[in-house]
Amino acid sequence: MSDEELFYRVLVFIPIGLMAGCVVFGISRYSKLEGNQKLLVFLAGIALLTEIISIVLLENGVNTYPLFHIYAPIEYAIIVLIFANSVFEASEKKGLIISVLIVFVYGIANSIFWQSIKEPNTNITTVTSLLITSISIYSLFRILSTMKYSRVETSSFFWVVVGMLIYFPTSFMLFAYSNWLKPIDPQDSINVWVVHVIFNTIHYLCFNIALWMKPE
Amino acid sequence: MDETGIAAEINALVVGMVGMFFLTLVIVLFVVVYQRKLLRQERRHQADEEAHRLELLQATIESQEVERDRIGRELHDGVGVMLSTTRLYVRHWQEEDEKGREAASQKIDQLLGETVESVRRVSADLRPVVLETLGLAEAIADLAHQLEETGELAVSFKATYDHPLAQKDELNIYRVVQELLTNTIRHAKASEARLEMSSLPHRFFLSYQDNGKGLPENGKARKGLGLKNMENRVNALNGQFTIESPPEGGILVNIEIEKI
Repeated sequence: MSDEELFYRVLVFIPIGLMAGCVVFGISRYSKLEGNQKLLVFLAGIALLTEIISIVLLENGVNTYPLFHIYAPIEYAIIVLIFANSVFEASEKKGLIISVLIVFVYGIANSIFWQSIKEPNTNITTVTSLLITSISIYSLFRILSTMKYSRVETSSFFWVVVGMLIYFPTSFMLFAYSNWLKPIDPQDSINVWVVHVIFNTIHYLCFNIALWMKPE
Repeated sequence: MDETGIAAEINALVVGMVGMFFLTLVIVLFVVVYQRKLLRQERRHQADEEAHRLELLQATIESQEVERDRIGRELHDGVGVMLSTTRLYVRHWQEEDEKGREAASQKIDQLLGETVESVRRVSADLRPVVLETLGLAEAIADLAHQLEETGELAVSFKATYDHPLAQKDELNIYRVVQELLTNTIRHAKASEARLEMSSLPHRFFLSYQDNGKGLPENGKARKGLGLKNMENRVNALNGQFTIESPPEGGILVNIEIEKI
């Protein structure tokens, strides 16, 4: 194993640690959290569970891709629920719910027709990354137009959006390139995955900050 | 593709991802800064509205005190003096012989008549009888007629008043018209005033124009007690009160009230 690969393997545990931090911190003050923060704890819990199961399966030489076929639509659904509970109007919430249904249907179709459950589900992750990026940018616009928060940087929802915007656009770029332009060989692209993990780390750091914020 | 080419592509992708990250930071910073700016503007606007509301409230309280003071003086200097004088004549009547009593009775009668007239004037000021009995259009027409008779101001009045306002709202509008006419006579040095009033099922509209001095040249003069009171009265009816200087001179006041 090269130094870069070793560094990458160690680095991967940092966002997992932050996920665990989210879950522990969230559970310790669960009663004081608002609705979105509780959903965030739930999301971090699902992500942590997926990562732990993935590590165990890898250690036992079992294919972990089926796990991520199931995880990706669930992650998208919880994220959309967090957005829907915040600054969106009723008609926009309906649109978000419809997008969840479309992602689930597309996920099932993708697993059956295009990328079997034994392959990476990069089609789904590319599409969900793009959707989450778009929704996050629109959320920032809605935060400005509704003036719901007196100081935006002290609202937990703002930090959730920042975390999404740091991780998912770069994730979209990575998977769109690999999926639609040119497949990336993991052996040649360790730098890309290191950068990806760094952004994932910042992503969960923002989630931890979001849980620290007092509900408005 | 050779290793150099692959490495270059990978590096380009990394640079792209890092670039996207910095773009995100810029967007987030913009949102924070812009939201602060919007908040500051909103707070300034709220402070201005609050200051304006307090100004109007102060104007109401002041004008109430002025009115009470005027009525008090009129009762004290007019009615009070006449009643005291009447009382003296009644005592005088008790002490006089028959011939003296006749003269005293005439004087008492005259004084009581003047007292009744004075009380009637104060009462009419407090609650105009024409307004209560005949309605707003007639009350304003009566006011206009009275002013015309004095020769101080020529007032033309047109009204389409098929859908009357509530009585208490009519009193507010009547007071506004009184104030406008008073201001025209006292301050504007105008010779003519024109009033138009229309009342539709869901909307009331009143327009007042005179040919006097108009507003000061800077346009937004500090509003006196009278103007603030008028604005206050119209606001209380959920209406809009605007005042401007038309090109032909004088002032133009428009009052619009949306009826619920």
